[in-house]
Amino acid sequence: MAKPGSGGVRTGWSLTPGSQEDLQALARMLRRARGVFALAFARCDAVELRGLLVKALEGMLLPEGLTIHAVELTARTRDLPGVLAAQEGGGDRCLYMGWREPCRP
Amino acid sequence: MPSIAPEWAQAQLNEGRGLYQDLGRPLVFWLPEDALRRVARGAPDFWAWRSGVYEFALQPVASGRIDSGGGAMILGDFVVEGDYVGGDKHTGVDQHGQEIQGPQTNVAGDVHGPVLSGKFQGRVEVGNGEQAAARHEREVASLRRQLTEARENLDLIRDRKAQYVMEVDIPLQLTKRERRLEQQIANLEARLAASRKCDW
Repeated sequence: MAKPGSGGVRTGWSLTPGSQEDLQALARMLRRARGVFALAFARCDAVELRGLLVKALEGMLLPEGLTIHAVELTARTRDLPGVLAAQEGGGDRCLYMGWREPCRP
Repeated sequence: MPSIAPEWAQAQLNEGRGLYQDLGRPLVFWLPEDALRRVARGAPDFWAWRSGVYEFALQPVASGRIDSGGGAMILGDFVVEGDYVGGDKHTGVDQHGQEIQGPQTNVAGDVHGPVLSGKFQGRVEVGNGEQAAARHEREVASLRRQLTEARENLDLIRDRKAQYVMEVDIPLQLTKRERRLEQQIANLEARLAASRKCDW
């Protein structure tokens, strides 16, 4: 394990088994919540990784006609319900919100 | 990271939570740990509506092995720059929005570790998801079987107790077994409820 702050490029990282199970669980939740309100939170400290995970979810759900629509939050977002309500698509569309900015600069 | 002040969460999420419900769609707030903690504290009523908190973390794999194995689906490669948590120490929020500090597992059962700084290159893959789902289904089925059996036993004990006219005549052993079963049922129900976080 590298020391904190030592820099450099560390290769050979992958999702933990628990994260992989959570990805499957999140996909199951989104399938079952099709067309109804459901609220979930996901934690990921890296924007780049989050993007790949969302793509993975899309890959799992698109064959079933479920799409994921991304809504980026910023510090300037003032009317989130209005922004979400303006999104096109019906109940077959899930919405996910995430920060655009890197979270740990 | 952008500042997400508690008052922002209060106004946008807590007070306007009915507006989100009206959307009739599943919503996933995919946030870094700090922001998640602020939402939990700043919008407790909104936070209480969650069906689950899903956590995604990285782990180092054997040097040079970032290729997939065991039929896992490769999703893509990534390079993450900044700090990352990995190992055996975790600071975050639990399912109740309470701060977790020090070495322990998070809500997903992962073990997290020290904050590392630098660039991380790896590969996201879904390891055998079917196996994980099947294991989860087996666990839930087992819990349900145990719960059914415990409830049946409790019904039998209560039938037996009902045959006594005077409460003081009920054997102490019967009362003890009833209490044990009630406790067992409560535990099983709690475990089943926790499993719904993944099952929902």
